Amino acid sequence: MYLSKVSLCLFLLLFIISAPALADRPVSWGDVSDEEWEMMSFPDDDEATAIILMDYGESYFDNRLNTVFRQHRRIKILDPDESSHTEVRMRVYRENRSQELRELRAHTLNRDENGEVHRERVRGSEIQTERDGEWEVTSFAFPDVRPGSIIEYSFMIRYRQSFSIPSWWFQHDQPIVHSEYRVLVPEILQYRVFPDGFETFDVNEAEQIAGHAGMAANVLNVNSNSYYRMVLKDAPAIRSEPFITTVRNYRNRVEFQITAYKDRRGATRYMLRTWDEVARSYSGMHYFGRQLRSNRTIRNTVNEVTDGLSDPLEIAMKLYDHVAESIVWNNSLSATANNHLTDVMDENVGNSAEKALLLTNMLRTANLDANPVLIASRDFGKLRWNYPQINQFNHVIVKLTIDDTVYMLDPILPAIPFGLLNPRSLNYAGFLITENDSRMISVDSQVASVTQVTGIVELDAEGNLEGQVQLRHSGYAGIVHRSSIKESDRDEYLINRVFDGDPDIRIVESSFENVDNPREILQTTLTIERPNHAVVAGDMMYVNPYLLNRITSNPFRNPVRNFPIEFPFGFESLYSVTITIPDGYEIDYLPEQQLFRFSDNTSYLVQTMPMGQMVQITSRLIRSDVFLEAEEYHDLRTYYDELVNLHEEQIVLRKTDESLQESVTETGSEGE
Amino acid sequence: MKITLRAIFAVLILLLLQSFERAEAGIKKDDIAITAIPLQLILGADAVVREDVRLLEYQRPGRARMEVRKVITILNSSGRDHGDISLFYNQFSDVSRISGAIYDSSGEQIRRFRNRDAEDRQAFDGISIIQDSRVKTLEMFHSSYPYTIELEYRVDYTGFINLPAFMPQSQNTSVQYSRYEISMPADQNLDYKAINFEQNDPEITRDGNLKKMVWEIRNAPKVKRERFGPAWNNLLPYVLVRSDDFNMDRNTGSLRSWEDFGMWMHDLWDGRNEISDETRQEVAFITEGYEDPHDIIRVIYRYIQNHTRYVSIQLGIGGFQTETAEQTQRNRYGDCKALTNLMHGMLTAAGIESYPALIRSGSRGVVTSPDFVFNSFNHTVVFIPLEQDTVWVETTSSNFPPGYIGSGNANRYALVFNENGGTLVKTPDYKPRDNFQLREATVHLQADGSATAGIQTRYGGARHERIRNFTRLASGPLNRALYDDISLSRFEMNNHEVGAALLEPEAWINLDLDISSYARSMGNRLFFNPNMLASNRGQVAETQERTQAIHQNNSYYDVDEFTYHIPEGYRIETLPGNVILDESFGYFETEYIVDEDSGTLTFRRTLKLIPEILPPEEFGTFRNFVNSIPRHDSAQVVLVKG
Repeated sequence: MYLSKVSLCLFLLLFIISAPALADRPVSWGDVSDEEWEMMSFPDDDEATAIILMDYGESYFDNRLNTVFRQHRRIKILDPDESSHTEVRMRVYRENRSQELRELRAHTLNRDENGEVHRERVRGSEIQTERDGEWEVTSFAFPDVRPGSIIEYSFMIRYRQSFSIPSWWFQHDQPIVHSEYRVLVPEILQYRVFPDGFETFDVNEAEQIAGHAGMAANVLNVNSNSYYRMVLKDAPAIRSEPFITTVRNYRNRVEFQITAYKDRRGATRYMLRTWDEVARSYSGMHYFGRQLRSNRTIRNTVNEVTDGLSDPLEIAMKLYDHVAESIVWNNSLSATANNHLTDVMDENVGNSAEKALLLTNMLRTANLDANPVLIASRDFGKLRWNYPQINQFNHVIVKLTIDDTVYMLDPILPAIPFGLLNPRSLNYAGFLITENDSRMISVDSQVASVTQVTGIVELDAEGNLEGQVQLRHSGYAGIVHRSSIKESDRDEYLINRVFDGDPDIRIVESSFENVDNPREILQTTLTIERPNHAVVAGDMMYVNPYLLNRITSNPFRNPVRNFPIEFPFGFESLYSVTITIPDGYEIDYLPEQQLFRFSDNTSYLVQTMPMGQMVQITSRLIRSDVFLEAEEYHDLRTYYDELVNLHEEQIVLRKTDESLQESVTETGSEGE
Repeated sequence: MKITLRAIFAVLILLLLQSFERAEAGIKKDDIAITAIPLQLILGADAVVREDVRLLEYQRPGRARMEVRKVITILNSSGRDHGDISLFYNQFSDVSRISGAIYDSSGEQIRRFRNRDAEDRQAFDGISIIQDSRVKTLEMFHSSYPYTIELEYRVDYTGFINLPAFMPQSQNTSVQYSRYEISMPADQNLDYKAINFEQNDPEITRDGNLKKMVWEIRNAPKVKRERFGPAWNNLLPYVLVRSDDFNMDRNTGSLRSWEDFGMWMHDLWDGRNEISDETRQEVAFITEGYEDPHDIIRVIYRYIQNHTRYVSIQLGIGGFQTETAEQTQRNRYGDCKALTNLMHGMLTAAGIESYPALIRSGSRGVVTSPDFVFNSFNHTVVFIPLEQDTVWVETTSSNFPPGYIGSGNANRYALVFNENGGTLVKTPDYKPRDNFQLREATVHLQADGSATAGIQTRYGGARHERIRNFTRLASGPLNRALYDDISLSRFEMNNHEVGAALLEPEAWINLDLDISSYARSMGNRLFFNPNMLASNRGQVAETQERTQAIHQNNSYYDVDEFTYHIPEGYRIETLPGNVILDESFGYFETEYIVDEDSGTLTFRRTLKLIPEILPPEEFGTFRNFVNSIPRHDSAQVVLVKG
């Protein structure tokens, strides 16, 4: 009996040890294979300055339920001067000893012609560790790096009882041969796994096992653990391109979020399994929902600021201005507050969440319907909605509803007026937190960059032009132009920015309206002169109808594109000019009327209307598309090429027969 | 001693008196209120320095203590940065006793700050992987303008070369009262240089065995800077101060002359350029067979460029002492000091006399001048005096040719040092002709407006540095860089070639382009701008009365020569006129040459800019020159059928 039990145990033990899930670690310190030495390039990537041969990570829990994270990296350096991987800088959060960096070791390996490997260690004295506020920074440089060198480092970070499992990126700015992440979770904790990316994982396993060599599993004598293993091999580098949000959206990664834990009595407590639970968690959070409770300081401020106002929209605008202008943003984007709102008001400094929550609180105190919206900034990555992940938010904005009209508010900077979002916050969607109806909402710019130009000008027989031009900038165009006006001399702004550095334009008179009222339309009225505007050649006169806002070059010159093309907001440019042509001339050729389309939302319309001695040209350029697939790039490039072409069209005037005769007569009389 | 009630009482009284003293030293409400500021100081300013008093107690070389007291009224949101306090320190200085307060516009105190409110951070410069500069920060902001901040702190110095400079005024700030008071033992001597100050000399008084020097500024309105005017360095007032002797990390030195300071540097670096036997062998190997010192310099420089990389490290005796040559070789990386030192060591082993030199690189900071010994160096280079010429080497560049020091190091004094001390030597000045961009192109125009173009461009000096970096790029990034660089639209690049000279600061780009639309076809005419690629844009506005000198700092020489083959059946109808603009600071010429036989039109454009400082009266001339160029650059040629 006893013997068979023992043998049964032994048998089971053997079985467990030899189970496929307990494979050895894929890398061991300093043990470099011949292939790794010989590898000096990566297929289809002639830009690589380094190749990540191995990126191996492990996360598990020790017997105090601290998360232990280990990483081991081995990199082949192709170009020591250009590669940033030859220097390492790491930060851990030291407040309350939340994170600790330990067991750091690093060395450079070089192999000579005889096949002998020479090792240069990074000495402890060469590693600098410094406190930086609440963080601790560790940095060092790899010695003896030559083209073909292999650098290797490994370290451990202990996260004190935070239940957070670090996320893992499988792709970087250089190609990777082997990226692997293993996570061991004790039975008393449950996590949901969020893999993401375009490359298919070579290995993506999840199973229940007893333990794993090297990864401690003796937590509360539990036998069963969840074991996750993910591997991506030969992953190409993902590098940035213009007109995208962030490369983070295109690199493979995995994230873990805790969904349940077993309490002392063995009962399972669930958390954050649904978006509802996330909403409730934020609502009850001290540094989020609880900050929305009204208090006396806020009430007093609201009363002071909105004294005498009764219209809800006016009140909202006043409160918005107050928060945007009087609280300095400390350049920190955050989804939660770090301080009490009363402290924020005292010190006049706040992070982005504190400002948004303060505004929400003030609007509610003024009896307005306002709710916070959790978002991810554009450069932080697109939000994923399949599962409730909370680490993806890094900013808060405010949704205000007055009589069925919705206003999205982003009080970070005073330059952004009420109703417009900072372009950084335009990332398609957000999570609205309300009492009982929290949900995903779309967050996009209701407002575009809009410029409207109207001109009434006259040409004389020598081709000189003069007249009046009025510009109206609203939406994002208003913000951009106001900022340009404030940065320089007004005349220089007009010539260099509005007229694109035109050397022949003369500003005779100019007046500006609403430069300091960002909510109103920025209006510029000009009297201009442009000598020799039209080219006189023989009996003909060639007139460019576009005095400004001409598309002179294609922003998409490069023939190659990998990623979708993304713009934060739409663009609209309306242009209308009425030109009085000189006596003795008539219209010979007018640009064709046409509608040139790229898509339903992006098109160019030009219309011409002759009216006796005058001609009116109207054009409307609209780009409302904010997201285009990479496959559409070629067509987009061609569309802009054609726009450049269309903007070169000229009006051709010809001397009338009478005036030709007159000049003949004149010449005749001159000859006398 | 028994602790009696009396003793306690006495202590309490003492404490009370201390705080009473402090209150006395504090500000009166009426003095702070904005109504106490003269109007002329408020106009146009973002902030007014009400009081900026620095009391520097200079005890001896390497030991000083400064008490700072600042009161600044911030008038609007543009002046807000004055409330963003950053107090830097490192292993040779310490900042303590920080205290502050915020007052509203009526002078009412709103908030108080104590030493523990300051955050202690690493002062990461974004580049240096190892550095020991730290900073204590405080955020003094208020919700409504204007408001006033008051800040006091103490700095203890345990090692320094220069004394702290006095810089009472910054951009867009006016000063009501500012004072720099240095007290020192009467037998010590300090040398100083006041710049943009009304009087150079301080008020000097004696008080027992102490000597006091005081500089003051009162009621100074904000300083304006006109476009193309002098750099802020040359407009704002400041005073540089240094002692004769200094002490840094138990190393003493003298600033009495450049020779002396150089001697200190030499002592600091002495013996550190010894290379290992292995490196010695390496030197012998790579220089074998070469006699001409230029060749030897070249191979050693190439060795360092290929075998080491630049890593920014700001440590060690305030960043002055170099790493040993052996260590640098072992690491295969180093900062500018280490790489300079290694090259110096290797040149010595090869029998070539060379010296390290301190230099101030870049366009900011205090300029090194022979008349005032002062440490403002931020970089080192190698100086090699040969029989026929001198060769300077910038060791941190991985691809410069030997002898090219880069525009950031040109035309300034460097402090060369050896066992005899230090000497100021001027680095090469790159003239406009050295910074050239010479272009030759042949363009075949078609009747439909399209064109094919073969363009060869050669770059030199400051113009070539950017192109030399292109040669390192792989084909993908190179393509992108070239497409972005060419200002045409609607073209395809059929062929391209980029190269850089081994020994000269020169590089080139050769291109073959297919331009789908270059000339505009209107009826039976073709219009085109013969100036295909050069583009000087940007207009200078008129000003009423210019008071400041005009600094034309650009230095380059561009020539573009385009030969256009006119399409069959067309002749030239209109040509722009030839233009010459000739001023002391610049030369611009356009020339059109027609060759009927070959059916070509050659367009030649020359633009030369010569660095010069012009008196304000010549602003009109300057403006005309700058504004005319884009006009001539966009002139059109008209071809007509027949």
